[in-house]
Amino acid sequence: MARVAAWWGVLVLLVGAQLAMGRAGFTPGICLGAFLMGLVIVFGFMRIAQAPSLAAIFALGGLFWLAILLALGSLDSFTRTNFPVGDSLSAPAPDGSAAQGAPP
Amino acid sequence: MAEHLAPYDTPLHRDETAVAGMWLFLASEVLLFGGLFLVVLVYSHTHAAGWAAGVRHTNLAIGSVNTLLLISSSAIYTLATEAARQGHERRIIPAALGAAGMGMTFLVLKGWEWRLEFREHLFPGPDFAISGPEAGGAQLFYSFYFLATALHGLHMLVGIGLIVWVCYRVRTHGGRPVSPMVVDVVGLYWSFVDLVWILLFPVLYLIGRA
Repeated sequence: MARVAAWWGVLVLLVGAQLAMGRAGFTPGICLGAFLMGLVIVFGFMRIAQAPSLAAIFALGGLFWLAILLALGSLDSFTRTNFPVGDSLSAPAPDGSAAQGAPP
Repeated sequence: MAEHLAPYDTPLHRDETAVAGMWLFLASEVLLFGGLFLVVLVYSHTHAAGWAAGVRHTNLAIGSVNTLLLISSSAIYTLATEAARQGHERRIIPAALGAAGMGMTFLVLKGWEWRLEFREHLFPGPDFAISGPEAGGAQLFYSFYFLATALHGLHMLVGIGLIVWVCYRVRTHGGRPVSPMVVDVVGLYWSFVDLVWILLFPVLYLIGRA
C-alpha cells in the first residue's frame, strides 16, 4: 500500500513538473518527465524487475524493435538534404523537366 | 494434480508462462503504438508550425485531469494485484471496480472533449477551423489526435471489460482462492494502457503549446 502510494505521489509530481515545463516550452524536460513516468509505471506498477526473465526478454525485445521502427522510419525525413520532405518525386523540377524517377 | 496442470510442471510454471505471454502481447502492442509515434516524429518535424498550432487548440485542462485519472486508476488496480498476492480476496473487487470507474470517467471526459472539438470544426476535412499556411500541418495533427485517442480509447474499453471479468471471476469463485496470476495479468494490460497515455499526453497537449 505504502509503496503504491509513494509511486502514485511521484507520478503526480511528475505530471505537475511536465505542466510547468510545458508552460515554459522546455521540450527536453517534458520528454524527460514522460520517460521517468514510464519507468515508474514499468518498475513500480508492472514490476518488471520481479517478472520472469522471459518477460524481461520480451519487454527488451519490444523496445529493440521499436527503436528499429522509429530509427528507420524517421531516417529519411531527418537526413534528406537534396529537396524538402513532403515534395512528391513526380513534381516537376525547377527547369520544367520531369523529376527523377517520374514516369515519362 | 500434474494432469490438471498439463502442460505445466507446477502452478508457478503456469503463472510465469501467463505473465510472460502477456509481456509478449504487450511487446506487439508497443509496435502498434510505435507506428503512431513514428507519425509524430516525422510530421512534428516536417510540419512543425502547423503541428504546434494543432497542439495549441487541444483542451489542456481535460487532458491533465484525464492523466491524473489514469495514473490514479493504475495505482488503485495495483492495490488489487497486491491484495490478490497476499490472499486478501475481499480487497480485490473494490480496488478493481474503483480502477474501472476511473477508466470510465476518463472515457466520458474524452468523449466530451471530442464533442467540443467537433463543434469547433477541428476534425480534419473541408470545414476545418484552422486556415492559412498552418492548416495542412494542423490537419495532420488532428488526424493523428483522433486516430491515437480512438485507438487508446478502444484499449481502455477492453481493459475495463477485463477488469469487470476479474471481479466476476473473484465473486463467483465460491470461496476458493483465486490465482493472483489472473489479477496480475489484467493489471499488466491496464498499466500498459496507462503507459501509452503517459506518452500521448505530452505529444497531444504540451510539446509546442508555449
